[in-house]
Amino acid sequence: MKYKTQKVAYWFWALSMLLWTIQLTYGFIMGFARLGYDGLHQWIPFNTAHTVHLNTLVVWLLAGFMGAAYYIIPEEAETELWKPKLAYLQLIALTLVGVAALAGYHFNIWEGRKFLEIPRELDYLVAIDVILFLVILLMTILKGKKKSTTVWVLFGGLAGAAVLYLPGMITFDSQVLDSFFRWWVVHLWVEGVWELIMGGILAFLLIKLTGVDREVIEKWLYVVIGLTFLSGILGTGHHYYYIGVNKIWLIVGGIFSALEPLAFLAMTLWALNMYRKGQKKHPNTLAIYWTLGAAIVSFLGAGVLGLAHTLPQTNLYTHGTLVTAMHGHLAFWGAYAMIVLAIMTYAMPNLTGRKLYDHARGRMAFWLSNVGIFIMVSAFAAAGVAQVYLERVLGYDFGDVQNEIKPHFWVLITGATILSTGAILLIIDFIKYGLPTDEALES
Amino acid sequence: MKLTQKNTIIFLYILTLLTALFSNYAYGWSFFVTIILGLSAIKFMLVAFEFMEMKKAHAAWQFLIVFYLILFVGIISVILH
Amino acid sequence: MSETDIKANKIDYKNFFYPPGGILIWILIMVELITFGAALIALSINSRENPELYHQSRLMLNSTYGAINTIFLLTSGYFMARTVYYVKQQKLDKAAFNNKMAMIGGLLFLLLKSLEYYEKIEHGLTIGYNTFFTFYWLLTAFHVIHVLVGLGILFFMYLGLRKAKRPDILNVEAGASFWHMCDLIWLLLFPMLYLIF
Repeated sequence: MKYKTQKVAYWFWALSMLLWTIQLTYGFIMGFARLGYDGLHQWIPFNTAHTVHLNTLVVWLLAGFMGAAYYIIPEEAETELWKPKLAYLQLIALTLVGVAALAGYHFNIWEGRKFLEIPRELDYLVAIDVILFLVILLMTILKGKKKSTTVWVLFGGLAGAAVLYLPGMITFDSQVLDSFFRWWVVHLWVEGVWELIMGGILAFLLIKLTGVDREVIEKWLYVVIGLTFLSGILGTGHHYYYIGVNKIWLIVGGIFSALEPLAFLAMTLWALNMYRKGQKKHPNTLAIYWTLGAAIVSFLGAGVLGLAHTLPQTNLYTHGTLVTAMHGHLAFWGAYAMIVLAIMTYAMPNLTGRKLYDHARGRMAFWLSNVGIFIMVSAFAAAGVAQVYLERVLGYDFGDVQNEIKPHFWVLITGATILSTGAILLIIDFIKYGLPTDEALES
Repeated sequence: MKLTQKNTIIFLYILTLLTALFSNYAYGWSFFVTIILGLSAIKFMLVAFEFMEMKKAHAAWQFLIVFYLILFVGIISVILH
Repeated sequence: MSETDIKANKIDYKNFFYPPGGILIWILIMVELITFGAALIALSINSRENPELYHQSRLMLNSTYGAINTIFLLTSGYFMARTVYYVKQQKLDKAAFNNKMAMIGGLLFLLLKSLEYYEKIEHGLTIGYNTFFTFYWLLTAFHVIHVLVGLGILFFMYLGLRKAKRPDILNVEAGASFWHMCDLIWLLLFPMLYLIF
């Protein structure tokens, strides 16, 4: 590593790995529950498991982004982190809030509202935590010697995410208004500012791994951002089709959301072309796998599978079914999980000095997790299409249809097992790297 | 004859006039939609190739512009047939 | 093509990455054309469910206004092209004049459009009147927003040309391309909304 304070990143990623383990576990709880093996029902009913599964996802990715920022920004700005002790404080606070929230879910302490279930009081603590995070980063950037496009895009995405958390904190009596503003958080996060975060991390990785000129790489980052906002802002309308607002959103949301895959296509072409243009001399093969993998799978999951169900005529039938889960799993995996794993795979050797660049366990982890997720997504697709046809087209009862599609959940669990095996190998790797050490500091 | 910018704007005026006349007197013709859109496509190409100087650009861009127009006029013609 | 080539205004337009104005503006133009194109296709598909409604509604639009607005934008485009021509010739005062004429064309478009909007509102033909008018208002309003942004760009270009510095030809072309794009979109909107149904 180039700067001592980059070590902070390690601890955020450790939190990520822990939360990911919980996410996978609760995923299994739900999978088995769907098949009738619901032994934990008394303590972990399905809705609790679902909420924990979603919330741990979001927080492990956020912690992953925070770690990425704490690693990337000192290196890009060419200075040590500002007040690193505050970064540790921020991490501990985030962990405590997270533990409180997750525990609370098991005691029915929540406010409903998918993805934004944490009680309002904890919202304020999260907001303060994130403000602290942004202040540390901004002070680091300002005192740095260089201010690159990559840094500003990454910071901008994180700041944007912070600002966009606020609409979810407004209280409404009207369910319609509540839904309307809830999507300002969820959609404008994952189909807006999080794409900036992904773009910034991807730019950093491409610069480091391909050796292509920074100017060339950063120029294309502008294209990606432009396409993201051109399509994504009004694309929020694809969450407004059937919630009780003006029918104009059917037209606006449908057209603009259909354009959203373009941003991910741009990222794929950008990453692959920069790799082809580069020297192909970087020893960290696994980091290259995860980086290019993220660029490709994000297009498939977020772009293609998103397009599959974004048109209002389709969404009328597929809304809130397992088709949504099909898209959600591959999209989150490809765009956000893989980019976090990519920056981790790149950074961990630099932080710890152990150059696990191309070892069998690492490659197994990559392939198993990706094969696993694709099997899962296929299972969701098959189950989802069956569900849509039986329930929405033919009108059969929800419960009866769920019984009919049970076999797909066996396939889902198989896929999840393969994914989890990959995840376990990754976590073993994480542990085998050991702790970050000053010996790994580049002089 | 070589297209200058001045010639181009004159052509564009003529085509606009033609479109106006055609739309007023030929309503009900079987290829009405295609012809109106076709006239607009020609104007589109004049603006793009002459005013925006895309005649000097890489063939791929020229192709994209023409292809876009073919798709647009084609799809709308089929839908409104 | 090096930075020095570009600064010396020796741009090789045949280079895929350097169409007139640069690749970024053309990516933007293609995305905009696809967006408006998709909306017009949605309009057409929607019309099949209600051809009589679309025909009657279309007749309530003033195609003469539309044709005059077409003339305004085309003429404005001509002046925009002349602006770029004179910038390349380093005749910045002539360029500024043509730039001003282009802006006037845009303003005339907006004036007539405002009159048209006023008349529609007076007759109660607002955005929720029927689906044709929903599309009419959405499409023309989005277009108006682009014209307003374009006028802003032209204004800044005018200020730069008046200062008689050495303008960056790529930026001038990019600004001009954005303005021409407004014209291109109108060339598709006009027949679709005012003539076809």
